[in-house]
Amino acid sequence: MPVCPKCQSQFEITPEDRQLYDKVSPVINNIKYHVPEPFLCPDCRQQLKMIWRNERNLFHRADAITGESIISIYAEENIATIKPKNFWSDDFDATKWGQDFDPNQPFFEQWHEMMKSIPRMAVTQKNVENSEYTHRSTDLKNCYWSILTFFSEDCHYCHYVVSSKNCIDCAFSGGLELCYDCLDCENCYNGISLRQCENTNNSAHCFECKGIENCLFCTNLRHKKNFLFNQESTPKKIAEIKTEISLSSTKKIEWLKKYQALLLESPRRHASFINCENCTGDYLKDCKDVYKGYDIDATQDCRYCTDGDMSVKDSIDCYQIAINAELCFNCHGAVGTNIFCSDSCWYSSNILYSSECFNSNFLFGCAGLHNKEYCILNKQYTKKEYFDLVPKIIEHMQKTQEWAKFFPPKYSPFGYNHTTGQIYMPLTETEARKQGFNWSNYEAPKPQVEKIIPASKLPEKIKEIPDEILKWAIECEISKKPFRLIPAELKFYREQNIPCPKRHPDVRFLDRFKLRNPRKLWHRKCVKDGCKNEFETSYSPDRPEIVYCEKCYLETVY
Amino acid sequence: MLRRDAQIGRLYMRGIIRLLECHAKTRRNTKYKDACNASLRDELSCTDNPRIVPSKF
Repeated sequence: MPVCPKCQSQFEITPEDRQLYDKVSPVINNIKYHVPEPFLCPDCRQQLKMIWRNERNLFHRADAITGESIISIYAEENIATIKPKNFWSDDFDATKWGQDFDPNQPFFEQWHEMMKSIPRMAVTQKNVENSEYTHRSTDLKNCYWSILTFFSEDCHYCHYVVSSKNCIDCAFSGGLELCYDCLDCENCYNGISLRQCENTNNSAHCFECKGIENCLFCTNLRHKKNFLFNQESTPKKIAEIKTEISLSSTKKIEWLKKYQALLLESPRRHASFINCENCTGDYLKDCKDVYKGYDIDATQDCRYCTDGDMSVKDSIDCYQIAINAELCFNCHGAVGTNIFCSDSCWYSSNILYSSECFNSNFLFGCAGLHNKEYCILNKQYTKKEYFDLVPKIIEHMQKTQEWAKFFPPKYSPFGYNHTTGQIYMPLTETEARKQGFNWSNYEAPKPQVEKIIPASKLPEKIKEIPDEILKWAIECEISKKPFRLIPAELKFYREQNIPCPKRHPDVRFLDRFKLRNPRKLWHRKCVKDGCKNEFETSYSPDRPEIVYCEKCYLETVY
Repeated sequence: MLRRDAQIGRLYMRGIIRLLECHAKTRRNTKYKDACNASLRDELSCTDNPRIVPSKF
């Protein structure tokens, strides 16, 4: 078994992997340019793609064309950034940065020399109203700092949220209303700290419950009303405890300790699969023959892919892949066919080593192009010239050992600390730099406020928080970063009787994110007495939770 | 996100499609334009009431 030179872990290369590597190998002029076997483990391979994605960190920048102030995902002043409207304008033509290929220089150096001059799209958003501080989002109204959020209104600090209203600090959820701190939930109303719940109403601190109403500190319940710690209770008693935990953090900690004990006694399903066949991974729906996939929907014959949506087929080593993507290899953000070692290329085909290229075909080593064909390093060629030159570049890359590798991390426009890599595989600055990753030393400007108060000095009861807090900043109890409340947020906390947060939104997001299982698999046995089923699960063997196979879990819950 | 609920799944897909579909003038790549429109059409045709926010509560 090969050993990853980066993390020293052993990893396998299966016959199915080899078969798929062969399938995604590009064919040019009837010659197949084979993808060599990977030398890094799947996790390290994914990490190299994650450093090309900044989801959550937004900065004030000046548009590189118009000079106007914009919100951008690029912190560093040396990365030119422009607002989406200017990027999509017919006046923006990145072929003007085109250059000739030099066979005496490594390819990636030439590509980076060209790429660093081309302005990049500041944020991706569409039809947002009063929601400028958002990214990768569409159809929003009055939302603040919400990422990958669609068709929602009055949602703040949300991440991967769909069709929701009046929510704060929710993630990977849909159909929520008046919810706070909910994770992996659907169709919930007036919920607080719900995890993997569906169709719940007026409930708080519940895990994997469905169709419940007015329940508190419950797990694995189905269609119950007025339950407390999985026992039938009265609405009066539940209301009393809800008030108690909203007024005193000491009492809340006591109740939460009891809830944690209940959580450890409650069985968990080994993986979240819906309608899947022959799959391994977690959070999979409508998938077939997916191997080590995470957060994937409607996908077939894919290996080591994460975050995929809608009819993805025959792809390997991809991160963020969607809509009819097929035969993609080693990509971040691929939407199209035959996309090879590229970053954010949508509705395109036969794209190799390109970044932020859209609606294009037959590009090699390009950046910032749309509606182009037969371009190499952003220079326009004829079809014949293109197919004459591309094999020469591939042979050159094979000699320089650049072939089939993703872009070197030092060329990423982001510091590792701003990327999704830091969310999934956190590193210190020293560790990141040692591995050749960039690190951003960007320091946010100090908030222009009357004063910054330590979180410990905040009153516990939300009713005691004065309106003046909107003019102050709060110093996060963990990261010590100051943060402000927005008026809509304060109104929400008051109406819902939720204490004022003591942690920065980034810290709150990471706290919630850590509640999801890691993107790793362990081979385990069902722990139910008498069951001999074995499975791959994201619960490591040293974790204290009781993990059941799907059959035993359903038998226990229903 | 698992998107167990069909309506949420459809809205999520619609969001992704809207996010990825490029500026109208630039969408000349017929193959992907058609695929995108087909996905959107399928999704819209099975949405009885394309509400932006669920109102069931």
